[in-house]
Amino acid sequence: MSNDFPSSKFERGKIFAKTGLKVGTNYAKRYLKKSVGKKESEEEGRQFHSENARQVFNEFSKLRGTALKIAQSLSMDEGILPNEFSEVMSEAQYSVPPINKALARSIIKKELGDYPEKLFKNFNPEAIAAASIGQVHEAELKNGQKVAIKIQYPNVRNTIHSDLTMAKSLMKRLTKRGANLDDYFEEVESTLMEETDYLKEGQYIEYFHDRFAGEQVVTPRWIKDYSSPKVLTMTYIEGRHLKEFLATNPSQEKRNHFGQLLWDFFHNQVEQRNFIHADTHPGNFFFREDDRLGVIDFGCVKKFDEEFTQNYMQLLPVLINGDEQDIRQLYKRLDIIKDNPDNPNKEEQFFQFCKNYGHTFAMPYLDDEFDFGDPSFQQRINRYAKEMPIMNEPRGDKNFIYSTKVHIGLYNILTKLKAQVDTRRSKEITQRVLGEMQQEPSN
Amino acid sequence: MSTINSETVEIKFAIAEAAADLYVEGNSHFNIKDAAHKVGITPAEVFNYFPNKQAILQFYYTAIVFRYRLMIDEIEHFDSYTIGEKLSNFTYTIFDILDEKETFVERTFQSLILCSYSKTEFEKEVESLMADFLEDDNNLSVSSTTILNHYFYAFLRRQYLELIRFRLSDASEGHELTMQLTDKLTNLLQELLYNRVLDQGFELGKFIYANKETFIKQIPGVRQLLSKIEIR
Repeated sequence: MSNDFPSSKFERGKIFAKTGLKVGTNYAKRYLKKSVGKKESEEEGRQFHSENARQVFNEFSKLRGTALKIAQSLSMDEGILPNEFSEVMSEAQYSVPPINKALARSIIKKELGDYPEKLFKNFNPEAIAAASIGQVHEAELKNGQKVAIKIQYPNVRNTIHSDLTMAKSLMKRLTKRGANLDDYFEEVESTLMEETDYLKEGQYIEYFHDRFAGEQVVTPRWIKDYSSPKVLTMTYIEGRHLKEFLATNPSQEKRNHFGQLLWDFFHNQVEQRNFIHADTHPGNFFFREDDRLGVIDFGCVKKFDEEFTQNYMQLLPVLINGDEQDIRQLYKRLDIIKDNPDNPNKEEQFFQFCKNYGHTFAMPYLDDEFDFGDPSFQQRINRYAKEMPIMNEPRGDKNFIYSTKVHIGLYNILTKLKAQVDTRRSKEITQRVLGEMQQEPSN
Repeated sequence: MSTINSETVEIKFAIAEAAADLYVEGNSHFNIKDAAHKVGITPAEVFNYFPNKQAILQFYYTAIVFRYRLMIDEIEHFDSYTIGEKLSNFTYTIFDILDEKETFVERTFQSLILCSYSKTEFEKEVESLMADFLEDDNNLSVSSTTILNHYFYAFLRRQYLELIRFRLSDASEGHELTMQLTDKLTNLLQELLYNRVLDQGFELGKFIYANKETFIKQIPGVRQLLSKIEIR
């Protein structure tokens, strides 16, 4: 992909290439065109993106598993990616071919010991949602409890591995010789592999329930008796998705209320310095009638290493202070810019871009309150996404892949909500956590 | 297939099942006497149902298809299944049933079914079930219905047996590789059977044929040729 970005956007974007050489060659053509000095018109660029997005989407919808996961993580960044991409990508969430009824039955039989009609009072053979590497069915236990059952596609671990290996080999054609892709791919692969362990996810469900469920947040419970490493049963969380919620034309008060809950949920996780819900995708949050926020899907849960967390959190004060030397050093620590670049001019251009982008990113933390409905904020972020300088190698710490996914995902939902958020407590939290970390002796 | 529920089938199945167990216990041998004893009939009576030992063991497989037909009734909305779903359901369910007597199947599937000189009852039943699935399906394209004949069913049956054989040697955890393969094969088959490309092509051909005079005149050169012919 020709777009670059200080954080992981680029790396994740690169995964596009997995969908086949077709797209790869299109980009190669574009590179070529650019490098021989032909300027492409805006219309050409636009057409190019739509065409590719369509192709990519077509490929994605045929694949399952890994591809869907990637499609989802990309479609989530609506407004961050060029619009043409995000439009097409967001279709992917809703139109992925399902695990067919016969296969769903057999997986349940294999994993839970009997066919769904024997195990449950009701079992809806039509999936209600596509999950990362499987799909979710609605059912009712014999005791009347309504549940959601997540079923994993067979042999998905091998599929992930072969998909990513293929993606990596394609990627190598698009990046400059010797660019180090292994770290990123390992990070993605190990995270996806972890997501295939539904027993672990069950434990995370319980863990997050203990931590967060209460008057403001609702999370499901794990139903262990009906779970296995490949089938996960949990209590059903009712509520409206973002789109449905917005369709009811909610008052500004309601928008702010839910915006604040989301913002706090995110920062409370930071405060506890433990596992983080790393899939801030609109499909994973419910805006409930009882004013509580429903949170689901604990498959992608992350605990970042201390060094990265500290550097990442430091971005905030450093960017707000605006001291260029400090920013430069921090960016170097985070592998965004290099000590000895091949092309210093281009590198400087890239740094300036990242600095400004980072500053925009820190804007919500500048004052005591931030209005995510401010159209100029949205425009700024969109503009950065469109004007990314072209780099032909991935940049940034591998942990950016998921940290930005969380952060950008959060911004994305909040901008759609047009919520005004009180950021005082979140600033305190970040400062306090940073202080704690600096005092602790580093290992 | 007319006698699924009859007592005969039940007794035959009981004998076959007992024989299958004995066959495994006895290291690939069993006595008709022991099997009869297990079921509670006399050895002579066994011959009312089966001509020989091999037929007894083979009936274990034949009965699987009978049992499957009974199971279909219990599946909710089975009628709404697509052809791919039906065929994969058949495949997965048979796998589950075969797992009940895994050792027996491992030892005998090759010799009793795959290497049988004539078409076994099991194979006939598989073909007849597939025929039922396909002939009842209203979503098949018109062109697909023209290939619904016993050659096609025999082809499907052979692929089906290959799939079982593949599974017997599949070392992946929980035979997931076979599950995946089954899913891909049945999806492809469904796509082929439901695809209307040929129907549309045929429609176009019909249309062109019906208006052939107009079309022939449109071909460059033909009109000139025709006008010359008229002049002469």
